[in-house]
Amino acid sequence: MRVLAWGLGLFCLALLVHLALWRIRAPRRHIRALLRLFAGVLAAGLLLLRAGADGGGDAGLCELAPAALLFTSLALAYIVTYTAVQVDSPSLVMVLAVARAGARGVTRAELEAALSDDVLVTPRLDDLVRDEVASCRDGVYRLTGRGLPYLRLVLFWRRLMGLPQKGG
Amino acid sequence: MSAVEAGCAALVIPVAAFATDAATQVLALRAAPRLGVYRSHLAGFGAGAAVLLALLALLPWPEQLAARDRAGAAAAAALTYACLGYCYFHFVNLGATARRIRLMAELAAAPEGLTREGVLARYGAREILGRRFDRLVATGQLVRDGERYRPGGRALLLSARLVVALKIITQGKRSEFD
Repeated sequence: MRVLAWGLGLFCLALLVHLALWRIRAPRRHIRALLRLFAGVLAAGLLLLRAGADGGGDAGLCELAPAALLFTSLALAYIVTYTAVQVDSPSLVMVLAVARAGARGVTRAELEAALSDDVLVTPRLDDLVRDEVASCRDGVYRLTGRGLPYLRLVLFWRRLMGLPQKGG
Repeated sequence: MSAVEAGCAALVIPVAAFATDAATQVLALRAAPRLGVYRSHLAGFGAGAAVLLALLALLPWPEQLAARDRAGAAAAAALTYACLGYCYFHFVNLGATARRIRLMAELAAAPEGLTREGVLARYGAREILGRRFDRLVATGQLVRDGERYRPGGRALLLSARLVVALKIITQGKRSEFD
């Protein structure tokens, strides 16, 4: 019960801190800030649990590790969801636009006029530069080494599943 | 079984279930590509859940562990597995749909670098929308009626509204462009 209580409790605490801080001032690099926040709350929480702060006696590895795993899996699930919330997903924007149009419907040309390269592509290029995954010098974009391991993992997994390499 | 062994089991069981999920999903898709990614995920998650439940049922819990604590440990393992499975679903989905990953792949294929126009020639709004129109019609979320698209199934629409609600809660705005 302690594992469940601490894992869930720490996660809820981290969420409250996140919401409060973001209301005061949202960071420039959201995901990096979230990772640091969750890591900090986890570290502090494990220290408290180890010291038996809940009155349940000192916690050993058999409680610390599963609690840390539960918290980490909740945190990762939240961060994955947050990346979808942070930017406007084209699919969701399209579905909302069509729903708003109701029975009249929407043509492809109308959506293409509203969702241009400046809306769909340029902000994502800017994200890559802001996150230092790509650089832009003299108007030329190049990958830095930062995102390569993750890109390689994604492409490897797509090869493993027998799917086309080019997504998007 | 000692309390330490029970703790280790609580750590290993969701990880073993997650490994089953990922392996089954990949194998199912390779064996039957017509299954599609979504149904392969369902197969994988189901297989992982079966492994989770079997391991929890077979675990020789320490006799001194109260029923409430066993239930708590099982719930923690199940919640951990569910979150890991959710993350895996999104990891695979990102590979298929994420614009940033596609942009990174295009830049990786052009070590000399690309101008903005060069990027757009390889991957632009028309392709982004075209892929999504095809996906949304194929999954029934949109219905094509001649030149017009009308609402179809409600699942993605409900997700879209939930995402907007979460944007308002976490960021105080409905769109990244507000």
